[in-house]
Amino acid sequence: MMESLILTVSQVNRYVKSLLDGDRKLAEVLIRGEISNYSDHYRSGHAYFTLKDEGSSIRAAFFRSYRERLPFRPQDGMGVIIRGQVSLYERDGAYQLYVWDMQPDGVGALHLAYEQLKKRLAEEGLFDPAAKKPLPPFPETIGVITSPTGAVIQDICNVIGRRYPCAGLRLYPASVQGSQAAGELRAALRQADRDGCDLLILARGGGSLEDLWPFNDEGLAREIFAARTPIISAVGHETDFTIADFAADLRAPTPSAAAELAVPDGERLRLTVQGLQNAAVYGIGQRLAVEEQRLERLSLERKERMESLLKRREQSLTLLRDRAAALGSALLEPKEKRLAIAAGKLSALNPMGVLARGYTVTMGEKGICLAAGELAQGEEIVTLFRDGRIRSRVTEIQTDGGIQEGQLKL
Amino acid sequence: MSVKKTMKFEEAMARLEEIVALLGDQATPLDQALKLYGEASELSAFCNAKLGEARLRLVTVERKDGEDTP
Repeated sequence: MMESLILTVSQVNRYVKSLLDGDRKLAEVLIRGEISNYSDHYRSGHAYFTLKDEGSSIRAAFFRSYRERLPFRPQDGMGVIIRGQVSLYERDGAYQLYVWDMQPDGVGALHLAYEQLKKRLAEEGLFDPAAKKPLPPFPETIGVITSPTGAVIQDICNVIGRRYPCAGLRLYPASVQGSQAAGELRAALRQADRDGCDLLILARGGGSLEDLWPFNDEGLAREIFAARTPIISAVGHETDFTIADFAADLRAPTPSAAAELAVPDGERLRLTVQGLQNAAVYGIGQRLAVEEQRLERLSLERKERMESLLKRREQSLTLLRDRAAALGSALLEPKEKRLAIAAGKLSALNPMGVLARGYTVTMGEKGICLAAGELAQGEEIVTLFRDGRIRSRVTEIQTDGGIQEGQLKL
Repeated sequence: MSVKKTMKFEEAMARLEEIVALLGDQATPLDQALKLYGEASELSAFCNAKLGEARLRLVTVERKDGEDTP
């Protein structure tokens, strides 16, 4: 009788397991406790830990298929509420809790996941201000990653169309909520980054934490961080902060605000251009005025130089003229004297002068007669006086010696 | 450096600012200053033309599927 009651270990374990599995209360339980000895089995993807309270503990198994659905990472010391089943692991004869799902005790699971991811990525340097890319001051092509339907793209078009219509917008459509959204956002972002846009805007309108969840995707944060193009993120309302916001180069509180931040104010820019143009006009004007003054100064200097040169030339010319005059008179003087002497001599030789002193000139038929012997008896002669002439006839000729000096013999 | 149609607005603005600085500098030779002034006029005309484009262009980029499926 005793022998018929001998059981194998396996039989006992299977029996106990069947008892546990048959209990409706244990088939689905909610248990509050604190996680300890949490260990990941990387190869299998399962996790094991101990759930405990002040007095007791229970082993827990968290299989991969369930784990993958959990947004946050369980950690030692974390207070959680677990939903699962209590059963027995036959091999070890250990009863344990099979975890299907867990919630952080006190805060929401998504919230916790968000906080964890944020902390992890921050530690990795993905939100580092030094890694932020500066926004281009005048973007020509702006890529917008958002839903093709809805108000967001419309708002962005309106703002940019008003402020800076010379920009070109490229819409990269992607779902912005639901399970596909994170993947589509990543793909659209990567494509936009490769297209050579000057700036990207990652935007979504307001929604619940669950709605915004794709923007808390770790992969998306890494794409944003790795992108070459500067990215402005604008997800939800002003009070919503997503992981994408932290990873982006600039966070805008709303999509409209992102558009405002993305482009300069065209009207003000026009004024700036006008101002620069005015400055150029002023600059060249000033420059020309300076050159003009310099030219004036130069020509004045030259005029003055010319004048002083002229004056000097004039002076030397006067000097030369004076000297020439002096030289000239010095040359003329002796000639004048000689002329006067010559004139005196000439007047002394003038026969009329002799007549004036009382002499006469006798002219015979052969002309002027210098000797009495040249005349013949009866010849008609003419005698010239100072005041006239007489005509007479020779009646007697005497040639007895003529006139001696100092006495006149008649 | 002449003003090209392919020039970026940013480059045009930067060059314009540079020219204004050069025009204010007496060390810039006069003939060069005159050339720069001509360039500045072209640049501001270029900038004004850009800013004068009144209509926003929006294109929707075809999605390339199958690159990132979740």
